[in-house]
Amino acid sequence: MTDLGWLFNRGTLTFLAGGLGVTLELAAIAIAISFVAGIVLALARLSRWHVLRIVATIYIEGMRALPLLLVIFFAYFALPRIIGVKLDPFTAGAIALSAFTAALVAEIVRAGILAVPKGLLEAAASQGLSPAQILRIVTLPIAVRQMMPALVAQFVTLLKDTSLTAVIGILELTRRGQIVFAQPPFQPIPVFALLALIYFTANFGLAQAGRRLETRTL
Amino acid sequence: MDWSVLGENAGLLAQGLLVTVEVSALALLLALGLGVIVATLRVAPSAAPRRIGAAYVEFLRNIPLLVQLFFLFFALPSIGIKLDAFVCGVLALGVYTSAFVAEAIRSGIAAVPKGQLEAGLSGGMTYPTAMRLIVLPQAIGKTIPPLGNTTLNLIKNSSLVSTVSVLDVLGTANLLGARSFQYVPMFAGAAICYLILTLPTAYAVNVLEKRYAR
Amino acid sequence: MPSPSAIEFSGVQKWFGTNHVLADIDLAIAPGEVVVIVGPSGSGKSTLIRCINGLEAVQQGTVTVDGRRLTAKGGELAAIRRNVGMVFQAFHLYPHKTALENITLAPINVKRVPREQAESEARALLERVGLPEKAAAYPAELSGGQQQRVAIARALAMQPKVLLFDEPTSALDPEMIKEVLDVMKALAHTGITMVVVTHEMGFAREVGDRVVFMDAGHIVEQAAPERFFSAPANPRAQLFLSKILAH
Repeated sequence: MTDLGWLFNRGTLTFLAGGLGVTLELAAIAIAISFVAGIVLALARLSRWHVLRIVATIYIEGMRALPLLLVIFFAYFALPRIIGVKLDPFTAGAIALSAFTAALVAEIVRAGILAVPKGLLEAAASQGLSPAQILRIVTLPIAVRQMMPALVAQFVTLLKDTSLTAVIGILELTRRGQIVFAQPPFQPIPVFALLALIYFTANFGLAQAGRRLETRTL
Repeated sequence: MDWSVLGENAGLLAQGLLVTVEVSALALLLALGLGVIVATLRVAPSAAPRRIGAAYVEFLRNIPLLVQLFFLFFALPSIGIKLDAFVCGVLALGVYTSAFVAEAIRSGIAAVPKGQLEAGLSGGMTYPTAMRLIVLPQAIGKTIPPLGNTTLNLIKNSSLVSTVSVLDVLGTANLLGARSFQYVPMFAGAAICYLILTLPTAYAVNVLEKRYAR
Repeated sequence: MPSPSAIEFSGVQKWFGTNHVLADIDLAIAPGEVVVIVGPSGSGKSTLIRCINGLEAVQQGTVTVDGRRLTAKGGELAAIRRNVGMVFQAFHLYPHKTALENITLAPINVKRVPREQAESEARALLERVGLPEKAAAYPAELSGGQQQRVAIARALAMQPKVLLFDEPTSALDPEMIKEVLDVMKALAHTGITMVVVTHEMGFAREVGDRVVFMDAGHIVEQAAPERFFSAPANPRAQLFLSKILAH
């Protein structure tokens, strides 16, 4: 185990770096989609319309009660049978991560919206702003600032969660690590140490970036 | 779609549910035990144990559970430690979750005003006594909500043991789905099993949260 | 033909649950009049002025502003609110916007005033409330008194015919009260209609055209300030004044 040339060579490292690229791509797509979908779900749950509120509540609470791995398997194996379209692993993984995280983001957004002082909304309303304008110009910008810490924590979780898509064969970082140690000289421990280091650095970096964003916007 | 497979295999799913409960319960015990120890380190009066506790928490929280589980299952045998898949599952889940337990307890303790501890110390109590009699009882209420969430996540995360061939709910559903090609009913059955576990837990957490919210 | 009232309450009733917060309110306020509403806390003063821009709905009776009846309908309500500015006890400045942006937000988004014009008007308003150098400051960087002056400028930016003040100095440290009252006094002489809920009896006496005394949801007495403060007719008003002037 002293000579790690089999791991630290250009070919293997490029292979693993490609995996990190897939991991980050998957995370970025899911963050973007779940952020937008989470806001829509939160607004639906706070809506005045009964039906909308009930549908959003069932979706959010249902998703939050299920394991992500089940959602990933469902998206890859079961969803194509329902919609009649075959999904490649990456698409299925992105759908599952986005759909799952959207429910969690929705709860963060809802808490953020409810935490906006009522007086600010009254001030805006008393100047003749419409409800849609109040939401866009006052409520959401203030809510997003308040929920930054929780959102960043959620996206750190999401970055870790992308590893679960290894089980449906997406060649992200964890899956590529498995492939590397399944080949001669069959030494998993250095591979895992490297994986751990990469994930740790990526997550820590994301958390730090989030913290900087927090202090800048507050 | 043939929903009859669900009825035919209900017994197997129920067995899987039992395995999920076993894994979750054992991992929770491990997580609580380790978590309390690490939380103690994190609020210790001197810097060295605090740093060790922080490193433990940050390390475990920032590495995916799946990677930790695969490490126990695939890597340890290469240095001669061969553990049963079930044991790997409980260990990985318990150790990973202990970081979140420790963090929940630490933040609960941090939420108790500092003057409370100081009042106890200035009254002549030792640090452990003041912690035990004054700070910890007040911290419990603030710890319940995050601990409840951690427990819920643990139950959901227990599904990862299926990736190392343990036949828990998800492992069973996946196997039966592949065998019968009836994925939709089998995953729906698995979802119901998880809801049976998580919804009452979520409800219990809510009740406790209200009782301790003072 | 008599000139129509700027604001008119007619037979207004309002309950919060079983609590009768506004009872048999009839009140007409003429254009340009400065009306000061006083009374013990919980007497319904704030609820009364919050009805004038529809932040509270009445259950019986009518409230009209500039001859238009306040009904809780979206578009029309917004139209009335454009003519009614409000200044709150807790300022309620938008924390994510600068002082200047707080002032230009409604003109730009509601009245569609071009940004440049809105900004130059906002600067003139900041000048008027004595804060020309604070245009780029965020609310968190301003003192309470400064925040409240920006809030007054914000309310003025929509060029309202009516200005409502809901205990504008109650959240301020004593040394900041004067700077806000000075701005309000200057406004009172411009001909704008003002309805002010306050505990500042000096302001009421000096600036008010009329004092309205409320107790337990009723308008108990209304009179010119000099008469109200020297010889209140109602025993509850006498008790209130003896308590508040004893300080």
